[in-house]
Amino acid sequence: MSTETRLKFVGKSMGTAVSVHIDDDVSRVSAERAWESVYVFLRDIEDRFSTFLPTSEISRINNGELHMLDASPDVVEVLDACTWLEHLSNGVFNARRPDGSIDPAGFVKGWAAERAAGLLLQAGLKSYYLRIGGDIQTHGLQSTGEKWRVGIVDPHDSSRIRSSVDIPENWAVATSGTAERGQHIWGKDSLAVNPQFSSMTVIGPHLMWADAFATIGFALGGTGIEWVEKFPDYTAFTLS
Amino acid sequence: MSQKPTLGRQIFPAVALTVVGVGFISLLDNPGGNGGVALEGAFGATTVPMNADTTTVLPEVAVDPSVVVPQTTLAPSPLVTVAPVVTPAPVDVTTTPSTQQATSATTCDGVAITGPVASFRWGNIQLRATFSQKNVLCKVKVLTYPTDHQKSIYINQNALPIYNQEAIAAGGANISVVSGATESWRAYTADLQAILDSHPAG
Repeated sequence: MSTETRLKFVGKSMGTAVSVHIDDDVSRVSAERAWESVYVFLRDIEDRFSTFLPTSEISRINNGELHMLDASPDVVEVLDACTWLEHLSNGVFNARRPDGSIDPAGFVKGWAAERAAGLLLQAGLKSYYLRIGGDIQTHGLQSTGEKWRVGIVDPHDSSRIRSSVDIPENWAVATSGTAERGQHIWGKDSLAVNPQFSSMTVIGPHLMWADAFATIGFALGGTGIEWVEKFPDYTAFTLS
Repeated sequence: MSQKPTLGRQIFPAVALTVVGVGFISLLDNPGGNGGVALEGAFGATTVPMNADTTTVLPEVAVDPSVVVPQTTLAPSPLVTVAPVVTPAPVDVTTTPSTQQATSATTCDGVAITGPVASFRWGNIQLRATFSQKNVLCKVKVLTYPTDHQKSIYINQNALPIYNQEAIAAGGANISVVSGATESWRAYTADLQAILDSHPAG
């Protein structure tokens, strides 16, 4: 099967674009069904996690209408992971705003994308990637038998590609850069200027960790690569 | 798709990786010898220019991409042995694996590209890639490399991304998908990924 037959889907979720490319030799109908399950899932996650929606579980927790322990298992899982990341990063990653309200948005996107990619696997697909806002979870190889080749965007010019990486089967890629600064890092180091590099890319088996590690590694600056690579299977590199 | 690997196809990556590995070790072993070691053997000839007194032991580069080889001892050995490790070459720039064998006979008379300095765990690396007239990568030279961890080797095919901006721009790198810092939906519409999403062959 040639790449000309790759099936592609694009949608809008969590304020950014979601793309799914499928290389499996499947009918368009079954691919569309798989894509729909992804899209419905992401919409549900947004409904439950968005701080912009007053009816979301996160908003209701912040308003005191819902106790954290009564939240859905997904919310508990996400907040649990955020606490773990806060601990490991000495507070550089923090899902709690200075005013005490919670906002796990910095973790939810990668976590939801990895879950959504799992839905494609459940649908019987083996050769695909799912991308959300620059972060990618791959599965299998391309139909050509090659690894998925991911271009890394120039942090100073998003219309250019500065490098590329061939991703091992089933691995993920996430990039953090200056565009993200302040978005979900309220730690003590977040205001420090980072003279060494402008973006950090992390690859590893799970998008939820690659995404979080890239965010933290970027915020850490000079010690970021070392911090990320404490975790087995996760590799970081930077662009100046 | 699942072709039976020929002997050459099995051996070539091993040789290529090994030569790259030898180059890295000798680089790390001779921090003062700036630019003296070219990894020309990686995709072409099998000779690796090294100082006569440079002694080298090959690292065992495992197939597992996550393996880090932190402490490679540079024990004396007069011979450069070729370990029969079947593993992809760390600098996998050629778009089709089947052309790799053919490129060993290709002359490197095409464009040469110097990549930007990339930061890794043990310092900065900068590569220079030379292509044939048909834009097939045939030579990679390390221009900058870490010199402060001489006994640490980090050969990891995943840790060495390809820096060939011009080749990518020329369409030679066969990019499937683009990673960058989070963009908004509005930014996406002008993004490279949007082109890949809409282009039938991307």
